[in-house]
Amino acid sequence: MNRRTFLGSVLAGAALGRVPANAAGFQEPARDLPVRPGADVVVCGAGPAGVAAAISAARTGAKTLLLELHGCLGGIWTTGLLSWILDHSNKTGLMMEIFERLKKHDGRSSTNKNGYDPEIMKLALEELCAEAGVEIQLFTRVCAAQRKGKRLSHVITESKSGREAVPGKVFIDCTGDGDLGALAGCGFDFGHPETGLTQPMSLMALVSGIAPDEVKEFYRNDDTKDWSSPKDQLRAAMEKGGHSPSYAKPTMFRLRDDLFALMANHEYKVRGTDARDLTAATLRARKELHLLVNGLRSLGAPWKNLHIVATAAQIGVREGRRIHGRYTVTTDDLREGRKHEDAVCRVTFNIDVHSTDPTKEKGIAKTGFRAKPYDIPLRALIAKDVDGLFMAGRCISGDFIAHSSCCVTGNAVAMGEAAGKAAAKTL
Amino acid sequence: MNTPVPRRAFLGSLIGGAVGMAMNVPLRDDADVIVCGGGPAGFAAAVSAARAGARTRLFEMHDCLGGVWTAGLLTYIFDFDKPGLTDELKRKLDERNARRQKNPSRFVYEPEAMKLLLEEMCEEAGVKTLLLAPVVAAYREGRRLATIVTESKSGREAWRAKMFIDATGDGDLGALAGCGWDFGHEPDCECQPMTLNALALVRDAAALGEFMSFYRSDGRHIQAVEAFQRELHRAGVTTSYGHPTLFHVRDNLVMVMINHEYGVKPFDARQVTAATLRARAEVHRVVGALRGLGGPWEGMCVVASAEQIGVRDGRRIHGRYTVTADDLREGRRHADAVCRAAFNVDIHAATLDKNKQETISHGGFKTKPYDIPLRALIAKDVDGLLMVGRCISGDFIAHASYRVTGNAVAMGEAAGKTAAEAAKTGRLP
Repeated sequence: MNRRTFLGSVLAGAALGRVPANAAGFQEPARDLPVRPGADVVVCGAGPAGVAAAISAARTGAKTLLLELHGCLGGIWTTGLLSWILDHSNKTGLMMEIFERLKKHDGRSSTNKNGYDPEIMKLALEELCAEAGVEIQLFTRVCAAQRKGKRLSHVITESKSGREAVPGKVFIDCTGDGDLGALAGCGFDFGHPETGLTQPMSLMALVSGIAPDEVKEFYRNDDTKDWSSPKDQLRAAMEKGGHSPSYAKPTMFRLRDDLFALMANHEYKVRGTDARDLTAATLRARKELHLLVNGLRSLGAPWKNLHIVATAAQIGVREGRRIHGRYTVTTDDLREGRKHEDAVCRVTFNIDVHSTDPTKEKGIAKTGFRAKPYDIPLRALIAKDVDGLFMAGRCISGDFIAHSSCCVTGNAVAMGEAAGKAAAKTL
Repeated sequence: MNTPVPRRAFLGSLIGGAVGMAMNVPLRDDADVIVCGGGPAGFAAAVSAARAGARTRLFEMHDCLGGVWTAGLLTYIFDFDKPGLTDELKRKLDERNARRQKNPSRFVYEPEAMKLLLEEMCEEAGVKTLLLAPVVAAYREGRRLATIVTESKSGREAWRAKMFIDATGDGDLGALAGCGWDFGHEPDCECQPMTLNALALVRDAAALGEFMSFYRSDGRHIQAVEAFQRELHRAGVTTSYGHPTLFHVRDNLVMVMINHEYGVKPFDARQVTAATLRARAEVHRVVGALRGLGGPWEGMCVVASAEQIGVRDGRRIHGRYTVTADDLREGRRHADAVCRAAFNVDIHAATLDKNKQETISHGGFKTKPYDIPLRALIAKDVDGLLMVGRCISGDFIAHASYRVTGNAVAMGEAAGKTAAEAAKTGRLP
């Protein structure tokens, strides 16, 4: 391993005594950082966008390193137990391959074309990355970034291996929250332009112990015509059980046999970039999910054996930083269905703003128009303020309304795939 | 909640740090006791410190409390026949109908119910918890630990306290603070393997009763393992863990423990990553093969592999006393006992070859119940620091007994009280 160190640089982990603390903050002394073997393309964040970016970069011939905070690949798909992929049906390429791999392992929902088994997804993504030759490092947090002039040269990580510098030729920010872009010094936007509020977070859960035939009216199949009825009936049952869910359109997806995903929670006015907000939201949300499930179980049949198998290992964050790129996807693009020569994917999903204010609405906020299919151009994936940096997924350059449409995970995969290929081609 | 992000200041400090300048990190100085790690030991330490009146902060790297109980999906608890918090946990799990195969000292619990219970107990005790916030640095003033640093979505933050408790399992805090430590089996540094547990759904748990440990009767473990092994053989798979085990969690939910990852250092992110990926592939391969047998196995599927691979051996931080194999052999007692451990030495084989000969060794003797003294929880090289759980001061053999989680809770409870008292009186333990 290359243990070359930055001379005279960076951060102590080992104790170096007598560091004075003061009211303004704590002065951490400088220290040398070990430099871990780097890669041509370093992808930060292994959610749907990051996995796609890494596979595509590696297949294009780049030595590729994929860094992930949690203990598996997939991000919101797996750690977040999303269980549901939106806007995938017009996507080819990797999105199709992922579905094929899921199918091979019997990991697609038996009743919904959007549904999948999150545990099988972990396996499928890990296989695809291994086959492409992607190097994976889990349990690793990107904490800082180093530039040479305008060009990003290293990310600094914290993991069980301690603090390390990771050199790369090109970087892709797939952190969802735009952590890397922000750390590298990119400008960004956050939240609603007027209120600064973001869409709520949602903690997902896997539940079991119900006979699918006995709860048919509470979940949606592909052949269900009325989509809102199952949600309304589920909410009514939850209210009968003693608790009205913070998400007014609670949803169950059938994944297999008697395994269902449950989406019934909204955590309002919390920021994905604030550890205290994340903690408070996670703890509140877990309590609510147990309250809802216990309430349903108290109703007796068909709920009498309903139980939570697992709440997600990461609360689902809809919005984070929108890193400034060379193009910004705007509300007008959606209104007009704008097309681009450098399109990386076509979005067909409508505007979908989950309410930011529970006093007004606990479901989906109303918007004035329906989005026409529109393109995301590669320029929206290229950082404006920093060189050698792409974005893919939630943190690309766009406005509040555009993000509510473009950043669902079918598009995240397509963006990642394009960014990975573009990054590898710059080498 | 709605304060604007102080973007410039935040970015300035982090980029500055990476380039080589010293960093100015936001500092909080509002705790008497800081506990790093929210597993069984850390949870107990935090609750007990807070109940004793200390302003207590708890930092956990994962998104939930419980460590190996929850993020690690352990589902089976040993050496739990003790007073205090262990007893309270059993009672409260029973109130929630979340225990199975009950025996005074060991039982199955539901990991999801455990998360909620621990989080509620911490909240009720007034513990201030921060999730997804690992400790990454520690600074002393002279010999005394004064400040720790966390990395989280809020960036790098410094925290002061009067007393600190290392409940990280791997002894991260002790090592960062500059304590001496041991790892594995001297002198060749062999260590116990890691294990990735998983939850699986089955169509009818009762039909698998023969293969589930403690399911049909309290003592029926080895017979169940052997019966399960025959099924694995029939399915044409071998497992890296020589004692493949199934536990009944509830209804149609079972826990599958079939994996050993050998020679992995828990303080090497690359090795832990590789182990996790190999382990998950194995769990799916094995469950897939069982499913292929049909019959009672038909429809069996993994629903959750653990977020964190289970780590048996980590750093053993040097304390003022070192628990040794002789203590276990003789059943040694101490005036400053914090708990009495009764679990036998339980050394999972360090290599695949050894696993074939003897999966679990008991060190060649039967453990007599012995005491863990408070001194083994007090760091030798650094003041103001206590250890609880796996990272206390002991030798390889002794650790293979006291490492189980009933003891972790008892140690945490004692250390929490001690730390609160030390903070209140201004005396060092």
